[in-house]
Amino acid sequence: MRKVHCDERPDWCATAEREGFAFHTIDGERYWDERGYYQFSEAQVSRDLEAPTQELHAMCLDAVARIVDSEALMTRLAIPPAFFDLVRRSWKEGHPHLYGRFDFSYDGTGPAKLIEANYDTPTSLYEAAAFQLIWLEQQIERGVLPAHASQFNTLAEDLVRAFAAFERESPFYFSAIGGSIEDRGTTDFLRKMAGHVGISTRHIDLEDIGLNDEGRFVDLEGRPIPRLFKLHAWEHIFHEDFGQAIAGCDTQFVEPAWKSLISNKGILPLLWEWHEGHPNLLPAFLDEDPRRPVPKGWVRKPYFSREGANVDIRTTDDQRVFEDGPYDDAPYILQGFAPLPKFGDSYTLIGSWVVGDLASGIGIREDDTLITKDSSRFLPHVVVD
Amino acid sequence: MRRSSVKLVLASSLPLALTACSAPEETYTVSKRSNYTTVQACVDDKMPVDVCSDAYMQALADHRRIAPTYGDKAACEADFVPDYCQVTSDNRYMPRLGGFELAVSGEVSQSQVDAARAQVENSGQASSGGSNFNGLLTGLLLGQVLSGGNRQYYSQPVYQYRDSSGGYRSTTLGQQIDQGKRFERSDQAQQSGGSYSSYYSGSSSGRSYKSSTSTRSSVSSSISRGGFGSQATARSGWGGKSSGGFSFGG
Repeated sequence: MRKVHCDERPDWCATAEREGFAFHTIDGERYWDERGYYQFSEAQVSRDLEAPTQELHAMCLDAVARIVDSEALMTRLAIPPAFFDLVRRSWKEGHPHLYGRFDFSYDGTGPAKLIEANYDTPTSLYEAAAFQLIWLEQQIERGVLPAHASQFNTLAEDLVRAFAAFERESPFYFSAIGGSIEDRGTTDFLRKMAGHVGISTRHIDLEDIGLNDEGRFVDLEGRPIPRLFKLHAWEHIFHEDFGQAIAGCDTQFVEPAWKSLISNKGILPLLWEWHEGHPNLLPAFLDEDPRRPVPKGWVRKPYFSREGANVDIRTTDDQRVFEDGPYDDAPYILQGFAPLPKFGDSYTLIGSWVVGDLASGIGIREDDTLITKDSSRFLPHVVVD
Repeated sequence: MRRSSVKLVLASSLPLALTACSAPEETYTVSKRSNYTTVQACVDDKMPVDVCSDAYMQALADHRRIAPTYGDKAACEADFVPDYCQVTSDNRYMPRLGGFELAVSGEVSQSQVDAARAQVENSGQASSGGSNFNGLLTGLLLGQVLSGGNRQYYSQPVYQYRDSSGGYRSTTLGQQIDQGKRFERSDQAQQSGGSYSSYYSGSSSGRSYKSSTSTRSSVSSSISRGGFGSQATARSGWGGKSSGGFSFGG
């Protein structure tokens, strides 16, 4: 694994615009950054990233199966008791899921360490599945990259296959919070993948979803929503007005409610408890006293934080790196500190995707700090031997 | 190392599936509105028998609920036609139910329209643009709506009355109001400040009574919105980022 500097395509911006990649630049700063790429060997990808992703996914599903049978464990994961049954039923009835992303600290040697699992509302999907693939094809075509260069990237193909398992008779609604260009980029890309297998898709802003007096979720025309992809976290839904209507409605939710157990950072201590010493896991424990300072070499994280918010790091040499945020109303965990590798001036995080039940590809984020945030740059990668 | 075909992700690429079942596709509403004096007349018009009898029952129920009533027979028959009004159990006069209007509507896709158009053209019964063409096309599409899943029925009572030239006509009360009729001697008009139409418009006649697969909620149902998203919105904007680039995912 190494970082290679390279010239960006002179027309990259126009290409991004033409392809509908609307958030390539955020607040005047590059989000998509192709002034460099990360190069991996085949062995690094298949042995150190793909195989662990597959194995960790199986461990997570196994954990879900154990958690749903234990009200004590669901309580420990801060699932409100009113939703125990919804979560349990979604698992027991086998409600299908679509995708998830593990975030790894990995520098090309040794085992990748799981920092967290984004299993409910992962974003950065379009740039991983589509735009970095377009970049690769163009750079090969233009002779910048060798013809045998490839990527670990079957995301689009695997998404199409995952959608093929859904029935095609009724429309599939995709929803995100109104006004978020990035979230809309994710849902529009998923719609395109669903369209490849003939599923009729519609967009609806989350805030526009209606609940009629028969207890069904409906669109703006009052038509029932048979299936809803929601880029909106279950732990939020549990506390919103419509949350309690879900158990009695006939809408199929994707991701299903059982995903709330994996996207929850409370699962990390459980994974450690059940697989202590696993090479891809970091030691993790419930934080019994979140008011005391973080011990040296540990990281404090709330159960439900996103984009690095409320993450508090104390490095082994006693540096504190802290990202403030709004997620301070849930329990915390302490996780062993696995510093992100530094390439030049940037700290690098590898997002490893699971689609359906398959390890499907990677996307790379860079930040100037140890905490990866929503503003962290996205860089393409290449696999070449 | 395996990667997806770039064809799957390019903005210019079309869905792999046949266009006929791809999405999103333009849809058209096909509707038909007919008056029937009896359930049998409705069935004879090739409408499903259950639809016809439900339409009649709905119209009869609405008739009892909204038809104007009068204190004397002459006032009633002045608004309708001679020998048409009956006495009610509380000694008022009201018009007889003259039949029912049945409206069917449903959505068809662009590909259904295209297929039906081709079928009519190939049948040799009408040339495109000819006067008969649209009638045949609508009939064909209506058949698909009736046999398909996404259809909705409305029914209303109809009554006989005399038009301005003295001829007998059958229409709904709503159509008569639209044409300027005021039913001002009816009990309802006298109780609503001389206006039957305000009584009528508040009575929600013409309700949808049957939605074959419940793919549409009934018109009268109430819907609340805004029950999703408040938690994420409450946490948005953290860190001073503008809303445009902010992600609520992760």
